[in-house]
Amino acid sequence: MTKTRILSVAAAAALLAGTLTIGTRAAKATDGPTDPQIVGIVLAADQIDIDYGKIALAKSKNKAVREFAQRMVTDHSAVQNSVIGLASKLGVTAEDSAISGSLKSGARDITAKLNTLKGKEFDKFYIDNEVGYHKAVTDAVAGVLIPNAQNAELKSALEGAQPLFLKHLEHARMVQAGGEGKMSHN
Amino acid sequence: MLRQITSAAIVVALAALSSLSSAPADSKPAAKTYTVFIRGFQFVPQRLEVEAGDTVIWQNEDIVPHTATAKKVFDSKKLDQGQSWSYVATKKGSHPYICFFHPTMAGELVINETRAK
Repeated sequence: MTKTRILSVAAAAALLAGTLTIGTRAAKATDGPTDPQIVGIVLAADQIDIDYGKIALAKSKNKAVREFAQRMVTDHSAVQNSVIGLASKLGVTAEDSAISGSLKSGARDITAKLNTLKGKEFDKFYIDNEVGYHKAVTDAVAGVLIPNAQNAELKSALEGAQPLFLKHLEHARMVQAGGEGKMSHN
Repeated sequence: MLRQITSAAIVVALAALSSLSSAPADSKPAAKTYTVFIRGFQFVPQRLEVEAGDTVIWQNEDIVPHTATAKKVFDSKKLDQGQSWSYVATKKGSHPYICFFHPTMAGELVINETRAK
């Protein structure tokens, strides 16, 4: 495994390390993230991917990569606004947790790597990381965040967000495989 | 006898006129309107069968923008949340389409001949 690949997988591992140590159903009542922590995790995960996307838009010249990156910035910004609006409505203030800490820590390493790469190496690393990252996020949302959400509206919002993460994962895999369309669009 | 035949002929003629006057002026049936909802990153219904001349409306209910794009057939361009776009079905055949922004979102519009009278 190349160093690049190891770092790419590290992004996914960063999130999963937090979630797996917490466990799944058995630990739900005692160790799972609280609703404020869940909001903090979602906001952190969203912001990290927005930031990766902005770096890609600044550095990549590949059309498919740029379109994917723009989609990440647009979609995750919409999710971000939606989560902030819901948290405000529910009176929930985002809190840091081990999981959001792991996410941010992993993101610092990935960001540093993204900033050093250029050209095709950058594109490959960015897309590989997006595949790993969205896989980790979808797993964490399904396995940890949804089961632990106490507020029904928050749980419903997380369930509603899953298709977005899954479609992003599929899209990232498509770009990774070189199957992205070539059309331009408004 | 001749009078009877004449009367019968008049009745038949009137009946024929009556049936003509009650027939629709246009043999084409009224075009229908269908709605495809875009929700949860899916086109609902995923496959829609319509007749030429019908109208299809795509309505985006997701918080992110989508499109309904069948290359060289139709293209809604960007639809933000709450926006909709309508297309009068003209080009007959099966038209697979995608969301340009999320190319793994796929739907199919089948346009058949206009209904028979």
